[in-house]
Amino acid sequence: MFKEALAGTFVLFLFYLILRLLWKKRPKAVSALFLAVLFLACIANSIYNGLVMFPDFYMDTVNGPFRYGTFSGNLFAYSDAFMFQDEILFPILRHRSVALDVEGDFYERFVSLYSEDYDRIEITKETRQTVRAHREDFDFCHPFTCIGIMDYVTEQVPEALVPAFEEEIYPMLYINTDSLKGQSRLVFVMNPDYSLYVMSEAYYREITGE
Amino acid sequence: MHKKLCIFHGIFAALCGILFLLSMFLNRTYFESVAFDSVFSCQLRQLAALSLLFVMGLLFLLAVRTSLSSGWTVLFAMPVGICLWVFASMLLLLTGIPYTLFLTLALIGLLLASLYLLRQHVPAFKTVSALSPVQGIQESAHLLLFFLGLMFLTASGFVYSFVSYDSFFYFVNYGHTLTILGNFRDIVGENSFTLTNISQFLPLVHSYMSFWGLDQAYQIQAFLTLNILTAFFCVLRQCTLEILAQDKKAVLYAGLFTLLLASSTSFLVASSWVLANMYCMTYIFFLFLPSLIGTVLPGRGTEKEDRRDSLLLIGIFFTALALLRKDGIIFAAFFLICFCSIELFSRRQLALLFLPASLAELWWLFYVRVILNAGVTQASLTSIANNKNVFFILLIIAASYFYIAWGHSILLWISDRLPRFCTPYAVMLFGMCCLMGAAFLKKADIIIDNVDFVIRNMFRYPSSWGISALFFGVLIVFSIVRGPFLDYFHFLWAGYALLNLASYCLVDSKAFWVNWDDSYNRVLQQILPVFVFIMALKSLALLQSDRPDHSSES
Repeated sequence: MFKEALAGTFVLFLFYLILRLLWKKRPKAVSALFLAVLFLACIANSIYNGLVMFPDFYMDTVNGPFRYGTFSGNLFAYSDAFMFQDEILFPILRHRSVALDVEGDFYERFVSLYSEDYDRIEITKETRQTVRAHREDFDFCHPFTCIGIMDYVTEQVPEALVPAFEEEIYPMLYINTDSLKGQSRLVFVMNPDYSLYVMSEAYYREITGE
Repeated sequence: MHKKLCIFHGIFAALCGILFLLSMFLNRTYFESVAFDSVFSCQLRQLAALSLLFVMGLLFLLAVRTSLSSGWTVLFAMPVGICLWVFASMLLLLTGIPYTLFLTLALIGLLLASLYLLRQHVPAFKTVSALSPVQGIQESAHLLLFFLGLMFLTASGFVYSFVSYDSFFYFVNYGHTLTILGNFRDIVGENSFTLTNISQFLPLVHSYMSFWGLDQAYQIQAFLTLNILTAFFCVLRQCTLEILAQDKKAVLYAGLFTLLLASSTSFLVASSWVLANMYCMTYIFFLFLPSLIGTVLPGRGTEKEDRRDSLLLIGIFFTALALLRKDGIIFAAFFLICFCSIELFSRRQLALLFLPASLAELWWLFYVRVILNAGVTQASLTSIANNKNVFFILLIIAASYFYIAWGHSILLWISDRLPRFCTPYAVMLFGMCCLMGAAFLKKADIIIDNVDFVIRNMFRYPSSWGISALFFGVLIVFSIVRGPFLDYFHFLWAGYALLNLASYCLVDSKAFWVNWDDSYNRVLQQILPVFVFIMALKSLALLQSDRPDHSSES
């Protein structure tokens, strides 16, 4: 790369010498050339960025191409093709109350911080199995990165999760987004492996009959 | 009043207003399927939040204005409004007063009321402008209409923005949490990595939007981007008019350079990415602008003593930079040295300007280290309050004051004894090269790799600088055609780039990354609007028609 840089600098230096000579002989030609370059730069930049950056900007990362930027849908701090998709939980929780699984102590601080208000709900083993059995209804599925990275949203990480957290492997978050529209109350059900199922209370009652 | 411009800008604002209304219907489907909120209310809150920041900044500037024109007052309103919010928030958080929307706005209101009282009763605060505040607003009505249009545009949600790990966890989520907890103390835990690894300016901007029940502050960022471009166009047009004295040519020239800046990949990346770098870019540019008054632009018949508003603006932007990033104090110190070299203000005034930034930085470090006693178990070496960082911040502050007190005189004494082309700027640049040399002796392998990575990031990674790096190289050549002497303007961008490269290599001793995400690459992009502006100013001489054409002589 140094060789290319050196060659580039040399070319620019030659260009400088030519321009300097031209400036001494024909200054108006330099003015015209300058304006032409300016026009060309504007047009070339616009075409290039129109093709590369708009309307969405994809970045090739180690884990594949991800959409880092977008032109629309920016009312949320969220992008549907992004690696931190669990950010969607923040707008979901805003203005909504949550019934949190009594066994989900690990998530209590998170829920208490970001939901309108919350209470605890007793969930039997059978109910938990029923929720798991409807897994295909939960269209959103992504590791819950926020719970691991935001160090102030958990009181203490359970011992069972510590090794996974050190490897940056986080519990799964499942959301039934279809059930959310117009619903003010949510239910959070936790599995023994700490994965979390989020749904509206109406949907929860529908599948569990409670 | 510019009636024609008022009509054009009024039409622009009306069109943007229509787009704003239409966007509500377009955004409704995806918004209401997730959030338990109304898209109409959400977008109106976005508009109200933006307007309030702008109005706060405008009222502050009208209160402290001594010599700035009404146009400049409008251009600076948003950046100043954001600073007012952040400084008031920081004051509440550091003094342990609950951080709420009401208390923060009350504090700003109290400040504004005090300033208006002072203005009425203290002669030193009187304006030297012939226009009253109301006349001033009337005079800049066209610009206010244009900015109203920009607000509609950005509140529509159609803003180009992109996000990464830092954007979410350090700025959006952390800022949101601060509004819920209302203090720093409850953020401190067994591992306070999120609290101590960043500076607080940007999270507090996101807090502002969070107080309004909004999810993020992309709109503020998009508005600032458009604010930079508007200021770039207006000030460059004014400078061009001063030199060429032809309005149409000035508009065309300023328009072309504004388009060049707006369309360059590096500007798109720097301005759209939700990171503190974008705000650094904004405040570096707005720090540079007041330095043009009295240098390139006429001082409007005012003495240095009457330009207290420029002084205040520079002091505010120094503080903003210090609170924006860990290395923000380096940017502020660099500009302090530049302003000292052009004798923008007296050295005593410059020393005073740097004081709020230094105190804010030291107060924050004292708070984290002593009062919060925040522990970091994860990535402790990158913590803002580690011993190495504290030492270097103290060193930079001490060195800046040393420069103001004695350093500048020593520099002038040295350059007086050197050949004419060895300007003080050349001596300073030579000093920075020595710093690079020191870094090279310390870790040669890393420096070679780092320089290689800088070149790769500028030319090999299309998403970083795109094809703009090539055009910028050509612009540099055009800017030195008349003479390659190193003056203040060339030193400003070259010194910034070199000083930061040296500080990254020498202080951090860290290896750069080969991609757009590299920290130094982002720091380099921060100077972009200033760089393009300088290139425009330097190349202006090529268009001066009074120079005789020698073609007939040959």
